[in-house]
Amino acid sequence: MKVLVIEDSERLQRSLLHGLKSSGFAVDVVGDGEEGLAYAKHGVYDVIVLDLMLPKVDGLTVLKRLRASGSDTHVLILSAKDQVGERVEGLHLGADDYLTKPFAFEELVARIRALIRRKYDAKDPVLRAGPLTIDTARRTVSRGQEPVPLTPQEYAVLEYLVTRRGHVVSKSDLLDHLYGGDGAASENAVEVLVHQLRKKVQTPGSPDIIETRRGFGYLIE
Amino acid sequence: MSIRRRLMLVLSIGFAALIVLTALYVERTTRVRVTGEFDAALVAEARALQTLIAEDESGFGEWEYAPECFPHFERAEKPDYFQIWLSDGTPLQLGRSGSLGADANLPRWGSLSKEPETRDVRLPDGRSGRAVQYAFVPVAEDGKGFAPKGRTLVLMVARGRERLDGFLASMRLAVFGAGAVATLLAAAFVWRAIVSGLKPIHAIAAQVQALHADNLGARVSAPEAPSELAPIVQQLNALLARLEASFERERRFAGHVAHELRTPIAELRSLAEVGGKWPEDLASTRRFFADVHEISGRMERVVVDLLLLARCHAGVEKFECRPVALRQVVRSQPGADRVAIEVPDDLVVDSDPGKLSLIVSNLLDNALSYRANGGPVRCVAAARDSRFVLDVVNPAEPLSEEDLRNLAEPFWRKDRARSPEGHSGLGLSLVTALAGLLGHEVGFTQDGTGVFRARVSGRLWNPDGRPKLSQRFVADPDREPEPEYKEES
Repeated sequence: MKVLVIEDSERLQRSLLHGLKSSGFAVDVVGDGEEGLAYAKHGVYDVIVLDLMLPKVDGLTVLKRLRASGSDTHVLILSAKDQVGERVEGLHLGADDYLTKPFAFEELVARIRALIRRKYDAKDPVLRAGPLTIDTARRTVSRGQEPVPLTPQEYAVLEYLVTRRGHVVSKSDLLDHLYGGDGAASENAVEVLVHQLRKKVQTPGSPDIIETRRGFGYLIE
Repeated sequence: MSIRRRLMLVLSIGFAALIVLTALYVERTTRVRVTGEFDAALVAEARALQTLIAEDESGFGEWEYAPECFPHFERAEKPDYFQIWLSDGTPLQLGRSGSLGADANLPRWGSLSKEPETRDVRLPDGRSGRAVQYAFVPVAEDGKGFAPKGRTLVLMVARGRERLDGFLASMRLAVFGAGAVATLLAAAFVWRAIVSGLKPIHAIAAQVQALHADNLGARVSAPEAPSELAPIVQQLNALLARLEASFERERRFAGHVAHELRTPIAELRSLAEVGGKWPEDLASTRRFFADVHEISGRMERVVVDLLLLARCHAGVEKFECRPVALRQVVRSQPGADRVAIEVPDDLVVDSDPGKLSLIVSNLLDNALSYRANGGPVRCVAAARDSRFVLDVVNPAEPLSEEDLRNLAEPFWRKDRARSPEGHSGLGLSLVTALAGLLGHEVGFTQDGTGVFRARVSGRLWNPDGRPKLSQRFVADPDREPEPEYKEES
């Protein structure tokens, strides 16, 4: 799952980047509204975390222009502005959620996950793929009653493929949603990750849960 | 006591006194006049009787009184009376009215004045009456007075006062009754006039009573108020406007403080939660600690500035004025090397060196941080008469008149999102507060070319003409207006 954070506080950028990555999100962080708008328009994000008081272009203008461009990416406003009128204005302009600073990091992550579920029309945080049960709230995977231990990146791949059940997900798409725009990994790393994931979730003698469509990508039916 | 009651009391008493005095005057005038006419009638009656007496050389000769012509002197019920005496008091047998009978006499008094004199008397039948008495010398038939030998007679005519008293009683009843009614009507009129007159005041009072902290935007409206109340309403509304502005400033200040604290607290909390949740990433954790340290330092600066601001506003911040070399103060500031300094070496000002340094550092920091397009910052100072003028000048983004007024407001920033990192928005507030404390003056202007000018002016050091050190500044109301400063070319 890929998140864009548009926040001008460098210290908040650092903690959010670290925390969200550690929570399994691919994260891009930008520090002003102009750059944030460019990222939001040209990148593919599941959720945009948007501060309001931003240099160059303020957050509400970013939101307005984003919606005007036809983008329906879920936007969570993260702002120190706490007045009802300010929150209502943000929601009226097309934000999907509003969280005031200071905030609990766990709550931010939970709200991002809720927005992602909404995006994929999955109200139930528990997803199923064959014999696997994926609890997106607890970030756990089990086969029947037996837990399947996955690394955060393996879990992210599985969750991403399951939320796009029935759609082929390309390696570059996976790469982008796993590592964001930092260019720290290649498609080979994705292949290795998928291989490791298959070994952990596959039941011997059963058909592959994760199918490979050569030249296109991966698919979970 | 309320205005209504006081006015009611005073006006009612005043009207009542006026009406009573008027009634008394009318009663007295009428009584005197009616009594006078009554007396005149008595005198006329007496003169008529007098003409009936003729004197000849032998003395009192003829008495031409005919009772049938004067029935009122003869009747038995409520008659009039007359009686004639010799000047020695001897009553004349014939000179008396039939109503006196044979023995009764009128209460003659001793005066022998020839001018008719009237008095209240008790009549022989016991009634109250009015009598006229005068002395006269009977007239001879030839019309000449009998003065040398003539006898002086005394004539008294008396009449009952029933009709006079009846008329006077009716008159008094009418006058005092009318007075009483007039008093009541006046009181009612006064009451109505007061109620009507005070109505605008009550309307204003009701509007003022309805005011509270949440609706200070309301204004007192009294379009029907008399012109005397217009200045009061005007001043009241002006006071409300000032109060509203003050409340609004306080609200903004509280909001700004809360907002200024939200972001660093959010940063601290996020750093603490993320660092605590994934402590195994030592490099990030170390960086988080550095961030926490930096944030706490920034918050500490805000708190210190706020406390200083509060102490300045409360007038409890201590300071000590002494000679201060202005150029040294300017040159010692961080960032001074990026400023064109045009301050004479010998410019010594009367100020607190620490506080003045804070003022200059904030002005330079503000100019360097907000200069447009990295434009030049100049610090220019000069002496004008007994004062110094220090200008910090930089090109800046356009500022409206309202922006210029708001510059000294705590936490005010034209564009909060565009504020440079580390600026809380307290710098110019502190400059203004510190300058006020030291007795300096501060002004912010921007010319048509976008050049922003922060000006501080104050007294030059003058060891012969200044108060002792450590004394508090006392505003000098006689201080001359600031001379227009022109930069040296």
